[in-house]
Amino acid sequence: MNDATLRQAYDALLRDRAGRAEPLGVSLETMCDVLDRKGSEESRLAAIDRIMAHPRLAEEFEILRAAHTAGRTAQRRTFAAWPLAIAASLIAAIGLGTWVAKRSGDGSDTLRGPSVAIPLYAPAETALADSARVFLWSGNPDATQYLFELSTAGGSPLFSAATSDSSLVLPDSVRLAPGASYFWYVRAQTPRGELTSPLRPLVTRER
Amino acid sequence: MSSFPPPAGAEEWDATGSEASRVLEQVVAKFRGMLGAAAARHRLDPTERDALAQELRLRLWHALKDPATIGSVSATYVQRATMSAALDLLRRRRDREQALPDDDFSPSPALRSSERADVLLEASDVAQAVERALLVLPESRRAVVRLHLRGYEREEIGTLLGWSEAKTRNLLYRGLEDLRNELTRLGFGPEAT
Repeated sequence: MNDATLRQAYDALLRDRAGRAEPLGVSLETMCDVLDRKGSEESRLAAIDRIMAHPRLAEEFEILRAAHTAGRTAQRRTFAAWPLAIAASLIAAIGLGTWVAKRSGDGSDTLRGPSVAIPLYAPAETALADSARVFLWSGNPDATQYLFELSTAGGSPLFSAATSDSSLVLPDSVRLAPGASYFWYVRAQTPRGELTSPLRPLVTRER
Repeated sequence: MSSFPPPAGAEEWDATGSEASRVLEQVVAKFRGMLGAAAARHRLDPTERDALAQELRLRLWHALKDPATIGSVSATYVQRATMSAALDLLRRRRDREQALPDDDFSPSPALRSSERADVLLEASDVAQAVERALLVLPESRRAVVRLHLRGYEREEIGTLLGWSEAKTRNLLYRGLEDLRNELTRLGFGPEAT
């Protein structure tokens, strides 16, 4: 029986198991221990055996593994990024701007992290509640549509909309309270995939 | 498509908090990328994938949002926040599923199959034989073989277990050999391809 047939058979087995309400039997903490390589090799292998035998567990494990790897990537890069940012400022100050441009301007996978794909322009991070109604960002020539999202500081979506323009006016039905915190961001859909702006805070103030 | 020119002072506005945003988007982009790769292999639902990425973004935003304190947030904290976001989301999902009466249980959209019932029935005998054969393997080899059957590459298995390439290859090959021998004994030999 070749590899492909074995995998198909195993896939069929797990699909069948997915429909049954069986107890999961492996805690999320145990999965974290496997990822952190905590505990004996024997116990980790036993855990992996149970995880890979159940489709829901395998799916959860995959999600945790993605978070684990993403977090570790940040750990490697952020330590390098912040001192580099300070060093870059100093170098620019003594007239070596060309060197800085060469180091920091080459795309998304440098030590500085991805460049801002969609710069956000307005409103400012602190604005009057009444006037923070127009949202403005940099247009991208490849964008077919922009998806705008405004949320409360607690993360609850307050307003979202799709637009073809690089600006949006909040409808009257959306009221921003003075002295409250919100955040917003924009995603641009392009033929080559999606570009995301940074998250931008918006703190509203009274007059 | 219309685009406004940058307003006066735009660069200054955008610079505020941009270091935090860069760190955050770096982590979220990596997370989305990994989930994207996993999606093809494990049929993760795209909607859930987006929800996970957004949850992670919110968590990290709360942790990193103050540009004045960005320098004091350690990289270890970013990693912990990333794991914590994923854990919280999975815990909530488990709680929701436990709250469902048994009759309401159904596999997640990510796990639903579009294959025809007769194809599934035909595969069922082989699938049961594979499971029986797996249970005969020593646990160490069984775990590695299960990872392989779930689509993990050898390098990924080695990284996960902290094994050298040689050790991973050796245990995987021996495990697959054991599995095939047991399947042959059960009447599913090489001709069953």
